[in-house]
Amino acid sequence: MVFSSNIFIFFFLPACLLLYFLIPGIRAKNMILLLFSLVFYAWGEPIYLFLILVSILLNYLTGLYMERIPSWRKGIMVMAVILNLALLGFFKYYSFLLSIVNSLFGLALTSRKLPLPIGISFYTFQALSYVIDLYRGKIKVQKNVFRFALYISLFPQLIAGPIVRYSEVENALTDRPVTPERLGTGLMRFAYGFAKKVLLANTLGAVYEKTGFQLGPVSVLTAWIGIAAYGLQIYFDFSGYSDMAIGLGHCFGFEFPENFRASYGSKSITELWRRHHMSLGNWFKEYVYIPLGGNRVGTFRYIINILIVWGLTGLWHGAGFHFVLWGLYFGVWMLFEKYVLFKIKHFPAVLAHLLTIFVFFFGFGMFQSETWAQAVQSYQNMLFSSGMPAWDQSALRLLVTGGPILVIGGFFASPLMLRTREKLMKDHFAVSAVISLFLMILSIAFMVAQDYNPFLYYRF
Amino acid sequence: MDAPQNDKQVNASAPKAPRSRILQKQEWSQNYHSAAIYGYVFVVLLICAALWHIFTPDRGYSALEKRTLTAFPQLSWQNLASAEWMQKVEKYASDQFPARDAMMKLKSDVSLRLGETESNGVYYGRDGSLMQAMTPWEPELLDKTVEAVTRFTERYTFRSSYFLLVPSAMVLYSENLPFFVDNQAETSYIEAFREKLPETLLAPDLLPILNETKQSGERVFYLTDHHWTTDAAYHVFTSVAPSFGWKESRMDFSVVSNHFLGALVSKSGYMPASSDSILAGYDRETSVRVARTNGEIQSSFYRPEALGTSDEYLFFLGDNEPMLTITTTADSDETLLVFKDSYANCFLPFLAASYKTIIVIDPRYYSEPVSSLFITGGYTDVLFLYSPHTLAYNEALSILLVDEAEE
Repeated sequence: MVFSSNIFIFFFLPACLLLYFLIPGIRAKNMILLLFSLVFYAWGEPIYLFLILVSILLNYLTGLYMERIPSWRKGIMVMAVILNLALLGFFKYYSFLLSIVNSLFGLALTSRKLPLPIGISFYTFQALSYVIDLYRGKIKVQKNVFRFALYISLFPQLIAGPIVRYSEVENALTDRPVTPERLGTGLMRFAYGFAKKVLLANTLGAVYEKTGFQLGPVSVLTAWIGIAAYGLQIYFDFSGYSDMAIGLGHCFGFEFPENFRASYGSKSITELWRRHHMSLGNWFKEYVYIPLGGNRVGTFRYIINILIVWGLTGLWHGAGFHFVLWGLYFGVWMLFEKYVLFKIKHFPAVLAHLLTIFVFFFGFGMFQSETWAQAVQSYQNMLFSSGMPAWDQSALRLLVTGGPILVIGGFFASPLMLRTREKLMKDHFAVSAVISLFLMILSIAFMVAQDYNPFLYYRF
Repeated sequence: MDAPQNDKQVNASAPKAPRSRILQKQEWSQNYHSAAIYGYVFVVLLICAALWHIFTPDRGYSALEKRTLTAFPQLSWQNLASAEWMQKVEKYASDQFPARDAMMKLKSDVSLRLGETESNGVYYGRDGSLMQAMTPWEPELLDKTVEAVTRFTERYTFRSSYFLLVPSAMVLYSENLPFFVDNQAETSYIEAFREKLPETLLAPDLLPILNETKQSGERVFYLTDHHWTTDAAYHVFTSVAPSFGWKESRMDFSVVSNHFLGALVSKSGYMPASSDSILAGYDRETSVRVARTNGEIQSSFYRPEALGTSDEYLFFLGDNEPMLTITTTADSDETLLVFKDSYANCFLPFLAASYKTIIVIDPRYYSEPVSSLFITGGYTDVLFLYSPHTLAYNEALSILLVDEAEE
């Protein structure tokens, strides 16, 4: 199920909130959340319910046995990490690995394309945080299988993050505040996120789709309009989803970590990634970068560490060489920032902002492509090498029809608007209430209109 | 414990200042009572919407979208396991949303204000008229169609063969097109088509004629529909009649509707500047008998029962039919065979005075071989009447006409 659907907004959500708030006792509330979460997960692909149950059971038992057989702790932990990654690898990277094997050995093995289980990248990482932190002694073992299942499957952040580490909700699983004011502020945050997703991300997505610059030769201007629309779409889609998840979590009494903090207003790529998909960055920092030695190693080893972390970050986003390259691109740029750019005194702030946005958006040429060939096509279009003019009529048309939403998007992605929203919620609640309800209604109109599907062929 | 207080403590006890102010944890709100009220109102609103959803009777058919809406699906283990049931429930919930049409209009309106002048292949013109866009066409299909028409008119002998290709509002009202939209696809199609058609077919350029209509102050196209108006059709008729050998019929015109909202409104969701009037022409001297494919007989070209419904264009000859047989009281022995799309629907009444019998074929729905039309003999003339918007993408005409040439 997705948040931006009639079923979720008008049926699933009110039913869940009503039961959750009416039924007393944390145990009952937990059961309700768990039940709704499993229905939420099974809605799109019921067969994969087994998969998440396997993941739950695997990690739950891992915890129990690490507790029961202390001398085998390390072995059990390593085993669990391997099994988790194997599950993720099988469903997400199988055909990618197969294509590597094929090209290395000149084979032509084929696989049946499995649909990617929703959220597997997210809940696998959540499960890993439990197993590893338990091994490190940072958290206590969870003996109640329902509570553990709730942690893994909690529907607000189940399918698109933020990646909540077990340590962040450990206490909340047994005791958390369930109050009407949290319901109100949480739903308000949800409404803002919903508007980001439906009004901004989807509209920008339509502009991006129209450019089609990854599919064939188009003018340079068209390609850059496409990149701009895509970059903003990704931000609003992802940060909007995170707002909805964090807001709903807040309603239910959880404090999820923040995930996006107006990242496009950063002055360097290093800073941008600290404000962009923060829960993923923190996960890699905690479980990959620091175990590798972090920055307390020699320069050479440090460079290697950075490249490993960013190569993996790229790979996490998708199964393909262009994703790995996309991650490495940022790793290399951050090294460049550390050793060159940050050494320049009085680097103009405006220039730093522009350079950061440019570098980040330039990378989307790789990220938005489904295949290597599409990535190549995108860059040819962007870099004057597809034999098309700098602009043409259709590019100007896109500029006229898509320009306003790009400007609006850029404005709402700015730190100014993030601060404004937070200030409104904090100090001018009534104003924020009116704005958010208005946005909610407009968003519902846009959501309903998405499926508008007139059949008019016969009229000719 | 209240969360905001909790947050404060976190801030106070933070070991070192965060690197960036924007990364500092923010309080959600200090206004607890308002927040609580907001929360309750929000949930109550959602529940009301759900109840409204549930208690609004399901609609079977959407007049705006012109299609059957999804009904609530039957539940079974099989379609539950395959998620088919869920998909249908989602479709159902979205199709049966009570304010669906109003929501679509709101969305189109907001998008329009934000500069998006195209919706679902329909442009919102600068004068508030709606215009159907033409997408790139395949030259191969054009060649096939021209060849099929040419060979057909050579195979069967007709006294005269006419081809009327009616340019659309995109061409006639190009000054009203949104910025950076051109009508290249359509003008190039019409030009190429007329160029390739042999001179044995009478295929006048209709653009100058329709421009005269426009100059005279009449609308050539509806604001809300892709079809040409009765005024435009009649002006074309009177202009070509002398050279085509058609008898100038004496017509009375009357306005039958002032509230016509055409197909482009449905397609785009845009609200146009105003609704349209429908004008009907009645022949003073000739009466007709129209036999439909299903055997139904009408004593007029028009179907007044369509007026006041959601689809008033059906006033002109009703739904598209594979074949119509029109017999008239005209003082004539001549017969006409017509191949057409719906652009002919408002044009045919003018021909009643010139022919005793008119056979009207819509190749998209006509499935008999073309030879079956000639079993009882030939026809004096043949007329093709098309909009490039159908002709450019539809193979039906060439398939129907080529059929026997292959034998």
